[in-house]
Amino acid sequence: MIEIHDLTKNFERIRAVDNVSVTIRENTVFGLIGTNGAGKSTVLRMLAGVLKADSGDIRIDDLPVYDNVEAKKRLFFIADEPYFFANANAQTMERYYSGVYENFDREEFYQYLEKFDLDKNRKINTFSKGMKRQLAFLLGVCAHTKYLLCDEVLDGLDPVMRQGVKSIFAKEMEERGLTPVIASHNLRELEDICDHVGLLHKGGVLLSKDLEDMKCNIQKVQCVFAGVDEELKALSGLEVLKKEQRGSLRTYTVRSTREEIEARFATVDTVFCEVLPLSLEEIFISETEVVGYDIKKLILG
Amino acid sequence: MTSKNSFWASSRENQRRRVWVWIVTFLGMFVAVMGRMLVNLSRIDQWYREGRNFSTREEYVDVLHRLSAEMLGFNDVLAVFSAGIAVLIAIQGFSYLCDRRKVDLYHSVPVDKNRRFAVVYVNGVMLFLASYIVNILLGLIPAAARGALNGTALAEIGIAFVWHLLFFLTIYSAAALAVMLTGNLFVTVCMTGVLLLYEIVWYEVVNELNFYFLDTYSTFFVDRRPKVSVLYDYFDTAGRLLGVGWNKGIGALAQRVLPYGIKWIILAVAATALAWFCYRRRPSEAAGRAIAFPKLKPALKVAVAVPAALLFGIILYDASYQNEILTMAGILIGGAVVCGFMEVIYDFDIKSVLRHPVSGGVALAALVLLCLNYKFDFFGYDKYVPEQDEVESVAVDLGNSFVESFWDEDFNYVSSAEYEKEHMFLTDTEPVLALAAKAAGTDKYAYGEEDLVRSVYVLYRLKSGREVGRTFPVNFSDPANEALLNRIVGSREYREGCMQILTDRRSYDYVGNITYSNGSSLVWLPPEEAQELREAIVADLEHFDFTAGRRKWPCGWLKVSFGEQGYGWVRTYELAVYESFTNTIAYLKEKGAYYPLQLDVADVEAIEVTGEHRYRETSDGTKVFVDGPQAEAVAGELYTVSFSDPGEMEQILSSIYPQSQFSGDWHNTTYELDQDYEVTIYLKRGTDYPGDPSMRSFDYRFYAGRVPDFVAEAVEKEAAGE
Repeated sequence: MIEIHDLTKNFERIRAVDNVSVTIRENTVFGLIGTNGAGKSTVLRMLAGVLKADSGDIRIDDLPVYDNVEAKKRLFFIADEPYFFANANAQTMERYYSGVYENFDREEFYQYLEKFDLDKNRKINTFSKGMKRQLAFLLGVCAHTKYLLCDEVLDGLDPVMRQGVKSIFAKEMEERGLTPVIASHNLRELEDICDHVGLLHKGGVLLSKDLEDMKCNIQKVQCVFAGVDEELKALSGLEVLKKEQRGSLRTYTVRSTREEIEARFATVDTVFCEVLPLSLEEIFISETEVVGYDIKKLILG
Repeated sequence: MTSKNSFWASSRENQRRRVWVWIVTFLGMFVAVMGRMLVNLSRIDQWYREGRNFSTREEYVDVLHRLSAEMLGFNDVLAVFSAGIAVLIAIQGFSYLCDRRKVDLYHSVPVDKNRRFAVVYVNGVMLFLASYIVNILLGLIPAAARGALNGTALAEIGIAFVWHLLFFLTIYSAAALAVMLTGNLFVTVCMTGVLLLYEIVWYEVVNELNFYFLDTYSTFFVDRRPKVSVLYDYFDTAGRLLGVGWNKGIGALAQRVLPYGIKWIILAVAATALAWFCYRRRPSEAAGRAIAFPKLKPALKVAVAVPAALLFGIILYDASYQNEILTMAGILIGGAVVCGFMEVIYDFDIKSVLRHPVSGGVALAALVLLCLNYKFDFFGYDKYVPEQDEVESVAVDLGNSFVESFWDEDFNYVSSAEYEKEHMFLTDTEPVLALAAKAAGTDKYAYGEEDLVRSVYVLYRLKSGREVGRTFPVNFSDPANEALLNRIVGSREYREGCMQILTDRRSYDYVGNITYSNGSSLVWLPPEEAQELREAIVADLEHFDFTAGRRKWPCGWLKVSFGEQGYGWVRTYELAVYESFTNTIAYLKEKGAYYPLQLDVADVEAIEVTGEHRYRETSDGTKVFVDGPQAEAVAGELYTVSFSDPGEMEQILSSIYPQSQFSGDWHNTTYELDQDYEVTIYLKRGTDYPGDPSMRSFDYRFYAGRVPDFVAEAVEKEAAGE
């Protein structure tokens, strides 16, 4: 488990991370979401032991991570711009990492290289941005560390490769309990992969929740009521986060379980009624608007 | 089996990233060692084949030995290369710290920081060491094949190997420290330059300014040199180490190298420890920044701006012909410019030029204080004269009146400062302090043009253990000073401190030859009687004082050559003989070597006098005599008159003194000898007057004010065409 308590980091006079506290459970995919400059990379670099926190505490399996080889053996950090040695090819990088990570699986690495159609002898500086990310990802996976810290790892990957990455995550999580921590500014990218998400904004955590909890507890209801009083009746006792109306079609974002909402609307007379799951983006918009942020501006620019 | 994470495994992995540095180091070393060795061997071989430069095969072999010792040993090219490569290896090894992407990789992987530092550091040393050893071994092959190696050469090569390795280590450690302090390669290179050259620049700047603005500042006795600059040490010392092994033995060479070796080890260890400490403390986010530790910025700015501005001031001082106001203004403007430049470097942004005015203000305030202190001498540097009871002893240099130079036990030249510092311990300090106090209270512009004012150098050895060196002017023409100067020169401590012959009996066992001359004669004296002659001179020096040297001119000169004639060493030194040297003159007379300063007219064929005045032709065709300062500005012919009348020649001979003979510092030849006429004496041929038969003419000068009227008239008539 990774525990972050009151983490703060300043770069000269700029506060990049401000009192962040997050817990990352094992064998889950943790998504760290935020706009550019929100502090995602800084948090990840501190998690990786690259940066030293000004204050606060990071523990990986109860070990402090900064300057601690034992803690670092449990994680692999894929930076937003991964570095490869000058004139190196995939084999060179494998040699380096297999010398550094005790459990690096060379056989698996070369198998993955073939599957991803990456030439082990080709110089990495001739790779496209996406190919470099794939290679960095494969090196990270094959290091067989417990935690894989990925900064924008899916950025620049085509849909097929993105699917490939996701399936490797699933496989590694199932087989050896891998815990990926993925930082991204793209909510849609993380939606179908994360178990838990933390939203960073201006260095602080706006919220940190299990995705399933969020998805189960918030629903979108589209409905056309038969009568005027029916609306009041249906919504009484429900926490309505948002309400829109186009003609007679009303759309509500309601905090409740699907079953409870369906049961409530079954008691009123409706011409049309449908309960729909919210996308991650919609959930965030709703959740953050509740706490007073205009999330569209934060996430979507 | 080597574990995956062992030091050597990490080391091998690190070396893979440094292949190009290996190639550069090896090739550079090959050129610096092997290349030069082969070129020089071939050149010497060719000289030998052509019969040039070497009279015997032994000479040729000796040169080969010395050559191999120099090319593979104390080799300046190798030193320059070692310094350059040390900087390159250190910066390349740790340069990942300047790149965020590399830092992300290296600092996130499970490798201990200490081990990474050790691996990179040790690999850098190995890189140099391996290239050096291989090239030395390669160089030994052609040297051995030509018989250019012997025990001394090999020992010297061995000592030089250690010397170069330590030299490399100190520079390498300093460059490593520079990387730790910075986060950008350009700034790293600048910082390396600052660390390596800072003390030298400070030393030069302060030295120059002190010379410009402090009247009594002197480096004559006090060794003001950088204390920890390895570059200064190397280039100041290496040249002097050449040949020590051959002349004094390898033990002596090792003894000379040892103090530097110890100092460099301490410096290298200190710089490495500091580099390691900074490496541990260095924040990873420093990659890409100019300075890794932001708190250092203001101090660094002040530390760089102050000497840089002073250097700028020195350049202006020279360029403006010692205009003090312009120099001071230049220093302040230079300081402001450097402060601004430092801020631009810190932020890589021209708009930052005016940032952090406080540190800039501190730098400028320091400069203002320094300038004011130089101008007004707040601390009374120039007025300093220690109290008599503070002083243990003094060494004083009044200039030489008897001997022109000093030598060590190997007959190598040593400066008068070195000799006097080592041998002169005047405990009667009162006359020296009195002269110093008098100079401190006298306006330096108060002396007359014809006064003989000499800079006297003094070393105060204080009872506290401190040594203070100063210089001050003493008017040797002032009769009031004569008693003080006689008291100094008359003391045994003074004489033994600056008249080597008094204490150095040993040298006179190694005399090769002795000649005596009165300016035109030349007589060879028996070298086996050198000790007898020395005894006579020693006895005469007992009565020698300032008045004797100042009032009288030397009447002859002994030239003593020490050492063995032929290949090797021969040193010749000149000793003045005064008329008061009765014992010496008696000895010379006994050997038939003494000829008085005034030549016998019977030995002289003719005398030519050349007027060095200029004559200007007027519009009516007559020539006008131009004397004094105007003379130099007027081009014109020189006019020479010849005299052969015995009466006239007798008069001339009684008024002249041999030109270009050592007359000591206690005479002012410009004013005490006439500068308007040059006198050439032609000796008769076929007489028994001793000397070189091919040299029968000698140049003299009239004593000032003693030019016979008939000479002046004759030259003027000649010029006028009469």
